[in-house]
Amino acid sequence: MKIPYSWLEEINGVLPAPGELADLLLRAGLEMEAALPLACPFSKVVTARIIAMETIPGDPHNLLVRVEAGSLGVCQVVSGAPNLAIGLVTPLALPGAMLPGKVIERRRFSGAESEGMLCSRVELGLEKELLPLGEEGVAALPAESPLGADLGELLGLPDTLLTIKVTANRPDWNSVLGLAREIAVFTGEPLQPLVEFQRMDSSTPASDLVAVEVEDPFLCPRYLAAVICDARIQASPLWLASRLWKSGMRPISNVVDVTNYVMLEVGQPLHAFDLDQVAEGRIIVRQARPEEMLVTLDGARRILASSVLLITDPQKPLGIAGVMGGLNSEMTPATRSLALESAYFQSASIRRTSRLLGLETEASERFVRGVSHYSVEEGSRRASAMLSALAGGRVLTGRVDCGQPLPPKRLRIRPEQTNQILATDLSREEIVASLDRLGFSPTGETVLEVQSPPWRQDLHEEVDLIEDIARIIGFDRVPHHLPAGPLRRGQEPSWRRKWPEWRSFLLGQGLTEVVTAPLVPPEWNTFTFLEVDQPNASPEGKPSMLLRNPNSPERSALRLSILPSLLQVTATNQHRGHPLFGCVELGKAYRWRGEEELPEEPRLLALAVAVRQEADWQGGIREMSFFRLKGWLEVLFAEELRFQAIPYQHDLHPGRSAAVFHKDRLVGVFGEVGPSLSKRFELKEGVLLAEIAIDSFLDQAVPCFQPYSRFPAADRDIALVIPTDIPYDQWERMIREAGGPLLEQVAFFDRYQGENIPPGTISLAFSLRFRHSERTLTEAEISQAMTSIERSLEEQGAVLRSR
Amino acid sequence: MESLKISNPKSKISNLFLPAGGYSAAGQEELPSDWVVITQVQLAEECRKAENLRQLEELRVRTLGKKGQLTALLRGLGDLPPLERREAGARLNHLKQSLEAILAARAEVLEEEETLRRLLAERVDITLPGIQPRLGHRHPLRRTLEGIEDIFLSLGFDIVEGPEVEWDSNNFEALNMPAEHPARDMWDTYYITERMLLRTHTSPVQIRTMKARKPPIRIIAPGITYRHEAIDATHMDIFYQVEGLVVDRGISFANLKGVLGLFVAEAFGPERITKFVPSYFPFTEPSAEMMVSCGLCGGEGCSGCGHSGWLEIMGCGQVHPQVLRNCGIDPEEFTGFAFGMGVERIAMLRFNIPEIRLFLENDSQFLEQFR
Repeated sequence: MKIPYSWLEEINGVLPAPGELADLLLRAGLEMEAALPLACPFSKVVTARIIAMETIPGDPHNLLVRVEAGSLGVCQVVSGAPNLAIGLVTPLALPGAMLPGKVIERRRFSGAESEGMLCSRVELGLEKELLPLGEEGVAALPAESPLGADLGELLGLPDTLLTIKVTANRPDWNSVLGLAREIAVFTGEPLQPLVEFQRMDSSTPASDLVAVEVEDPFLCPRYLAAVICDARIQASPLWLASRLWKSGMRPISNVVDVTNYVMLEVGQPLHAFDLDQVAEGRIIVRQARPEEMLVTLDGARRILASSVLLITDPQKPLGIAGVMGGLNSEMTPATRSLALESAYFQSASIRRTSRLLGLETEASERFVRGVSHYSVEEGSRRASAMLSALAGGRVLTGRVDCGQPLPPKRLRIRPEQTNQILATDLSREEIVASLDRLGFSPTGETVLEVQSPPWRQDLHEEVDLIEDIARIIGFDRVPHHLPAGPLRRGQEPSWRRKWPEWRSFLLGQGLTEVVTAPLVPPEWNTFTFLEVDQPNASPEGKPSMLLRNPNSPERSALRLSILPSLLQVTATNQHRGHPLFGCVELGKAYRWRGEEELPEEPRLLALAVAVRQEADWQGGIREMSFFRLKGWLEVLFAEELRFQAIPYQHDLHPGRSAAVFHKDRLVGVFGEVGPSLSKRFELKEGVLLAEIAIDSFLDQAVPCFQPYSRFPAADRDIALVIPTDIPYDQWERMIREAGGPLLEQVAFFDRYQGENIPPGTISLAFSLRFRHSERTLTEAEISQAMTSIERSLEEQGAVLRSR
Repeated sequence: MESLKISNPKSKISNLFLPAGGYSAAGQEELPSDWVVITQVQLAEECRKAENLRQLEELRVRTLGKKGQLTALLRGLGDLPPLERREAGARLNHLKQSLEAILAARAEVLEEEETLRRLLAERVDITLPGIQPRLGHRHPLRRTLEGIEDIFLSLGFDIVEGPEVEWDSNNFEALNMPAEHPARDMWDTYYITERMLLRTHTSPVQIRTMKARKPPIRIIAPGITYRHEAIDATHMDIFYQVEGLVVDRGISFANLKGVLGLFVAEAFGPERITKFVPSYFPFTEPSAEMMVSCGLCGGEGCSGCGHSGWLEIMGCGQVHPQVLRNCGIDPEEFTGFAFGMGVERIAMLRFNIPEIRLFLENDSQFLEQFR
């Protein structure tokens, strides 16, 4: 909420300086977000009325103007402004006045003595909203302005503009009076009475001119209508316009300004209808009918849903309850009598309407947080008097009042419970004193009974009072105690224990940990490598989710894979000239499971790494390749992973990608980025990707000792030339099967294609290790095993190179 | 000095003696021409002349080798009469040991020289750059998050997780915000369906935990949260939070202050102090904002803390009795406290990071600063 410091000062009487006020508000639970000093840009400028004008001989551009300036008497000034007119009230800068960039002196123009200067708004350095009239020449001030008065004082300058953050539970703080009241609780200084306005009453009962019907009292528990007759719509006095402007509102005309002023003062939104535009003088509060339409004050044509609560007359809608009035009943210069609405609309209904229409107003914000029966009555009373005083109207007797005020809320509070929750040792007396300061008037002994002040709608149970007591005594009074409980370390999810191991390995390989956003462009959910994870999902059946209200298309879908995000990171860094070698993220994907079930959120380890060969100055070569990545996966998950080619791929390289299985369960995918994806992300070098669902790898089995042989091993190499169409793993399996129980290890160490080898064949070389668990092997045993292996390989078409 | 005058192996050994002090030219004249004279002095001299281990080895072979001079003499001992043989044997063996010692000593010197020469030749320019392994970096956000988690784990808090896509009922209703409650406006929300949303805070994990476990409860719930918010230097629509919840008999506001004070001492250092000021959250009462004294100015006020001397770190409070009731816990029997902090904010303070957007951008120049 924005308010000028001077307004609070007027109500509080004694008010700490803005800096200390911020500390006081903080203790109360209010945050002063800003305190902006507002200087008066001028000095020695007073109000004056033009009483005579005459031409200056030989000067066709200027007039000699006589002005009266109250107690300062009459003086003459030379002015060339185009809007000079007898009766115009305008700012007069006296000799010695300081204006932005100039000093005014007594001087002669074309032989005429000028005792000052009539000023335009721009010359005074003021905002247009503050002095909207007289733009073409000297500023036009309201005709009723006191004459000879210091303009700075009238405008309440200088001042400090405060912005105070009000929490959602305290609608009463959304007003100057409410804030002043809270400040007084903490300063202990009594409030000054509000400035009362002289009102003129009419003996005619308001009910003669207006009738109110509320169709749904749940949506509108209270509706007060006051009637003011013979009002004149004109500009507001300077002090009022200035206060509104300093509070962040635009002054419009006296009636509208008064409703806004009272809203800021007591927190009650008000609305004035031109009574001549209300058919039969009947105000009906009801929900919208099908296809009903209203042009609101902002000029927008609004089609109204049936949930919208309206203020209507028997023929037409007049306004959207609690949000905005209609253009058809707004104040015009011709308005003479008006109905002043002060109502209590149900918060939820106004919130729904406001969101539905995308229309948030000062009024709707206050209704959403909740008004009180107190503010409804006080707002109506204050505004009626002000309208009578400032618009010259007469207030008709009585108000039309639909609905009943609620009886004050009664609550109980136990001092013992208070001390238990706060861990304090407050005496009953101290608790009573705190409650008294808050205006609760407590009674009783072990259980105190309190009555909530009429402006407090936020109190529901004991703990609400305990919080208020804690605020009064200060949170610093609450000691620091550690809770009792068993001494033990907390438990953590198994993935959190495992992840640092995996990460250390990958960081040691040169990968960098990244954190990317789960909200992605929907297009990222269409890449085909995802189908590997979802073998049965049809393209239409993709389990992706879109936000109903995205901020931007770039962040409108929940991701099905982390890989596109990693490609984006890779590409961005490449284009910035600082490429990452690789990145890894442990994150989630999100898979729709229908409206009745929350989505699946599998945890994935995803990595992207550049295909690279780098030589160091010593001639060593570091390389990253498909098989190195495959090796990482084998080492990381240290389990019997199974890889299956996925030649139907095209976002990944169809010949260099694989689905990854663990215990016959598909757990992920890896491979090289294909040309289309590379182009899509504008990658500058080859990238390898892998994404593995980690759930299956989290069992932390404690290792169990296995006996091992202490007898020497025998190593034998074997090289074979094989046709290229039979994959490697079949040969290895053949060797293992034929090697028998003595074959301990099969190490593949060479693969050769080229000279000395027939085309269409490859040479593979293995180092085989034989060992017996209980004794030293004999040469005969080894030869027998080797023969068995060689025979088996030859049967399958291998040619042994060693022969 | 002892020396030895020995006849040719094939001749008779007659005079085995020379006076101490070496043999004289005159003495030499007395010997027949086929006598070989080996003296320690001579060998020592030859050893000194050996320039390398190979030459030394040749010398050894010549004297002590299978066909060496001394070996021949030793073999010839058998031809001597027993009395002479014993004495000559003793003398020859003594001589052999002496010669071996001389050779070994020289060998040691030569070896040392050779090693030195080799090492000198192997010398490198140690100012050449080291060949470093590629080493990745931890993300500052995860590092901060795990640091926070570790502190609470050590205080006996279990880590509990909840889904990021949540029901409206867990995110709002059970947290004391029925439909259209004005406080819902404190959390701008991304929706998937009418009832399904991206959680706006980790607080729904409180609800899930209280419905699934009986007090005593002592948990933290870290994770990603979402707000339908415009992105700028200090606001992000996706960010990490750590929620905390303690429910037990007799849990007071003082316990909240105690635990969070301990957390601040661990996370920011024991010299930092905390301040609690009233705030509002629908699911806590009393609600508070915890502030920590500014680390840059020590609480004096500087541009880092908006000249207040304090930094807002987290919202917290006593669990609202209605929230306990919503989860089937009797607020007259059990009380609790809860807190929630933004991980990015803490990481920004810790590493002096100026913009929240940098975390999810993953620029290598950013990440490489946090090894």
